[in-house]
Amino acid sequence: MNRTTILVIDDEPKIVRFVKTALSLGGYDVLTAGTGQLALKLCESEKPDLVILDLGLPDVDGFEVLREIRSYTTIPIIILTARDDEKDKVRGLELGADDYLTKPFGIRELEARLQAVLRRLSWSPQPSDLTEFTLHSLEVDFRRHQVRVYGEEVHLTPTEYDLLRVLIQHSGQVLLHSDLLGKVWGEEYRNDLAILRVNVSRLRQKLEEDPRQPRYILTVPGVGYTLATD
Amino acid sequence: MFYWFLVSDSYLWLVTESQALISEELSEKRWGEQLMSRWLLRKRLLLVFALVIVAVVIGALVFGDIGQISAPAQVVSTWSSYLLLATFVTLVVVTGVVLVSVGALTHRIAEIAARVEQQLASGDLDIVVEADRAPKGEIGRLITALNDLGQAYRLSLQNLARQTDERAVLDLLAATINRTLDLQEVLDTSLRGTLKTVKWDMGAIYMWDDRNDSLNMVSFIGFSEDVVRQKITHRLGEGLIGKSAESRKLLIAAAGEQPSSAMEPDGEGIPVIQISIPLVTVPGQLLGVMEIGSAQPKTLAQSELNLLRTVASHVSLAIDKAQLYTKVSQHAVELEKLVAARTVQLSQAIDELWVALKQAQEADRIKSLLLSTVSHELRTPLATIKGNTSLLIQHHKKIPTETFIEHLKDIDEETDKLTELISNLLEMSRIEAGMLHIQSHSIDLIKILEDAVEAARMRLRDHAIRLEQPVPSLSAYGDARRIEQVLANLLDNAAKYSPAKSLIEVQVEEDDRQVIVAVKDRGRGIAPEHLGRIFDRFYQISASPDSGRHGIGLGLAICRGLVEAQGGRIWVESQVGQGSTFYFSLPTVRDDTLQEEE
Repeated sequence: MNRTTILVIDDEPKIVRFVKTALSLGGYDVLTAGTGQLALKLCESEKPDLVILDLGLPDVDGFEVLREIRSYTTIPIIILTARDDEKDKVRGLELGADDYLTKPFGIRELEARLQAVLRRLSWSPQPSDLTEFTLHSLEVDFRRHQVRVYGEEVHLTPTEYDLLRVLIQHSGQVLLHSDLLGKVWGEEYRNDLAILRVNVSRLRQKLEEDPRQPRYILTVPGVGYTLATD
Repeated sequence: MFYWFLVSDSYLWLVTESQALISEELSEKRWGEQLMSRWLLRKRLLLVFALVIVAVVIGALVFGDIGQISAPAQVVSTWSSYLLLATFVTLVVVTGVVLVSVGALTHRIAEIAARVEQQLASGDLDIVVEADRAPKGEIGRLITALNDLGQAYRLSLQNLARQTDERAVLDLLAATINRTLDLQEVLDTSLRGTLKTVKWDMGAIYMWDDRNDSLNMVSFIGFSEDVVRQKITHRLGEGLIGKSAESRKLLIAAAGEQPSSAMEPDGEGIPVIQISIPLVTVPGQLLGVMEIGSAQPKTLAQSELNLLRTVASHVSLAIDKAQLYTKVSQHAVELEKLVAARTVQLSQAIDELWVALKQAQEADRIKSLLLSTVSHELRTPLATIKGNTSLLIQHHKKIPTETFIEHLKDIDEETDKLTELISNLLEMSRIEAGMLHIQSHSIDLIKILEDAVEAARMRLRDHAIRLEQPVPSLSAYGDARRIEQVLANLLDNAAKYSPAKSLIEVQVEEDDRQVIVAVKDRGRGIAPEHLGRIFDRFYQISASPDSGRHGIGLGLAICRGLVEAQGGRIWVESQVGQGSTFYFSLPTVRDDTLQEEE
């Protein structure tokens, strides 16, 4: 089995050093880049399985790097930054980041988030699970990890795919925010409403005809979300 | 007897009829015609009566001797013949007389009518017929009446013409004085117009000054300067002018009298040499006095006095209007000035507010910058410390010793960085609060530079640092520790922004009452847009891709604070690609204007 390759993008050598040590000890292959340019080059040539991205890069804005990577791949991206502004966090998630980690952070937290994202990536349906799901123009083939709208394939990030899967599994039921966060991201995310909202919004952008008047993923104000049954 | 009776009877009938006719004609016809009718009637009656008598006498002579009549029948027939004859004769005579009389009368009246017509046509309304030529009686009275009528008509026309002239003159005056709203122009024009209107040759206008209770000459015509000097100011109640103003009455000074014996014009015919007319507004407020005078005494007619009063009321109105306009204009000007002043105040206030807003915005921006910068600069070393520590705790058993030590070194370095950061922040806040501890003395600058350069050489091993010493020692006035701090900062910066192995030079020179230290690098230089702000706190030039982060942006701000606190100055000269030279100066002697904290 191929080892998971992680690209660490940060201009602080000391941070890169300890992250690299920790990830190597965890059994990952680690690539590092101190600039956005180098990061984009490596991302294209080395095709890492996951990216840890610092937003404050010396040459290119971290959000730009995120947008660039997201434009051609759905690989998980974890933002790593000293910025703790809510706006930055939401913007990062909106641009397609799967998670957000604020400096300073402990090595265990980094490992936990990394694993959560990778778990969503490597999730495979149990035999008893649904293999196919159809609702109007939306079709999901769980065996092939494929989502289609009006017959056209839609590319979802692992997190988005995982979120859609949980909603389909509980189709017709109202899922509380905290339950959704726990099931998709992990128990430590139960209160992270922003990450849920941003991902629901992105999922709607990809699946719904009119994301402002969704037909599939419905909001239950103050409670959570539910997937429509008809 | 019967004949006499008939004659008497016919006379009475004629009288009665005539009277009825007269009364009828009088009531219906115009008075000229009535007069003529009355005259004609009386003459006619007398003539008729005389003619009847003549006719009777002639009849008697023609038709026989009255004494010879004896028989009654004969008498009757004779009398009838007489009567018939007499009646006939009478009729003939009356008709003839009437025709003659009427013809004569008509001729005379036509003559008068033609004369009247001729005079009316020529506009001559003087006497129709001179008194000595005027006939007596009815025609005479008719002529007298016509003469009276003509004279009355002529006077009326003269009055009308005079009034029309006055009206025209007044209109002209009003038009002239109302042409402008400039008070002085109104006054001058009024005076000139008045003199022209009333045909007097000297005049002046005095305006009432209620602050000084005096009447001051503001316009004059015809007076010599000596007279003007004497007349320039009048008190209320004094002299002709003062009395006229006080009484609000037109007063005159008669010829040969002193002006102080002012009097009201009483009747006509007094030779007048000076007139004073009060100028008052409609509510009776005194505006001033207009005086007119003449070198030669003049006789004033009532109509002239009336004209003067009317002129005065026009002039008063014009002055009042001009004064009102002047007041309004002054108010407008004052208002304008006030508005301008307020506008200036407002604009100053806005400017101040704007500056305050800008300062507040700048303060806010700096605060945000401080927070984000400090937050970032604190978080980054903290992230390294926290990450490394948690890594070592978590995986210490799996990490080889060398790697372990490397991570510990990282923690150590980042701890130093944090300490430095906190020191800088504290230093900056002390500079801003004016609480820097500066202990200036007379120092040997060369010695301090040597120490600082030596320390930097130990620290910055990648660069060559050269100190150029022109003299073995150089005296300056400052705090040795602070000078070292500034120099260390400048050398660190020079190393940070210039390539490895490049030369950094430190030079010093004495200039007038100061020494100047220069730190010259061969780095990439500073773009012109940054030069003006490079000493501002938290100002950072975006880092180059290869040099990583460059701290919090306080180093140069602190340098400036330290140098200025020692009475010196700091500046930079740089060109992109040519390197930079940072200079700072220090006084060579104590500057007493600087407060030191001992």
